[in-house]
Amino acid sequence: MEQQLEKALNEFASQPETVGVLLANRQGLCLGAKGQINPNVSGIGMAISEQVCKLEPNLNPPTICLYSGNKRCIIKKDGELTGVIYKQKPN
Amino acid sequence: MTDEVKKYFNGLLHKVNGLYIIQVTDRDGVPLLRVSQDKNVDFALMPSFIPTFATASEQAGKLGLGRNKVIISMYSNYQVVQMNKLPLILTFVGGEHCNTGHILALEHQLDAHLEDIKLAVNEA
Amino acid sequence: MEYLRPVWNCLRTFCGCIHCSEDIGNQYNYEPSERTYLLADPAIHNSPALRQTNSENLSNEFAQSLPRKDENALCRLVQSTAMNMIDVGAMDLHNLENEEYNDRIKLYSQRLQQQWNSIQHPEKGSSGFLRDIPNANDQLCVMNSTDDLLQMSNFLREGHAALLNLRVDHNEAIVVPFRIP
Repeated sequence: MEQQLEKALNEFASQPETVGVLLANRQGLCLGAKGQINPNVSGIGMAISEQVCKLEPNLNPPTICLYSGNKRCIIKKDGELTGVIYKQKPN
Repeated sequence: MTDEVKKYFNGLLHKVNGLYIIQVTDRDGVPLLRVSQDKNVDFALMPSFIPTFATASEQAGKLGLGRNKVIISMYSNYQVVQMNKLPLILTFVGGEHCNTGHILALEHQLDAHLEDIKLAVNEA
Repeated sequence: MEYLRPVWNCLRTFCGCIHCSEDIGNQYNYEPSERTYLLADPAIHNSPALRQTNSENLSNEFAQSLPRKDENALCRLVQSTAMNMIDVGAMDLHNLENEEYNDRIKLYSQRLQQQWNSIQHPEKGSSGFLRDIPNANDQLCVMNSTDDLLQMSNFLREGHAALLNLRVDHNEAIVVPFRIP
């Protein structure tokens, strides 16, 4: 019943430089995660996107990029879903 | 020191959007620590509220899925997240649209603080 | 399910009558499988207890023919089944008296005060924005990659489409697993 969701997660988790992907629902609960990413991140990812949306309440939710060394984390909210992607530049 | 701990829990309460109460009790519902925003959420203070969860958690452990850790209850106006940290029980009460995932993510942060509080209950 | 409770109560009393002293704590060490024999000694399989008898003679014959080991095995089985049976109605909520409630509150707050006053927690280092990041200026100059933004938009679009196709496939079971590895 969740094959299409699995397929989408697998497809994006195997893209270049991508280490892990996660989808959260509107309650911050993890719908699915693939790769080296902690499913508990769903709640915090959504909380971050909610806070950032307050910067410009009239605009569409922005994409958030967090950088640390050669790793980066991209978070974006779109309606019911919040996506979190962990990426890493190869050394 | 108690103030610092309360301040920490208050900080958590304000970090999560829509969270009204964080409460640490023993399994009979006797409160050890409670922080709340000014909302009328008296049902969490009812004496039978916590023991009911303790029973439900014990019975839920017989479903063949291992020990029950968390029960999330969604009501029309509130949501209640209760964590089995026996001898302690952790209760979070939030609004309907509160970020449940964020509350669950707090569990790991709180474990370290709960170790101290557990000692107070265990000295029997 | 109502008829089961008197049956279990009956069996529990029966175990009490034959002096079963099995400790409930041992339940958790006893892991029966489909290969576990209830009656340990194969010779017992030919005992009169297992032959078809009239119900009024059954309990007499049973009590006489079972050796002690098998009584214990039977007790263990009954107790572990009773422990695993879900019976919310029978649980009686032990509500604390007001006095005991208030006493405990005082006791806990005293103990917590003692504990927290005797613990020396290390001072938190002074916080500062971006203090822990070396070369913060360099990090701040990194431009966002448009590939990343595109990947995220595609990811969310596929995610939405997948959610629309999420449905429960009925297959006769009462509980349908979802994302259980």
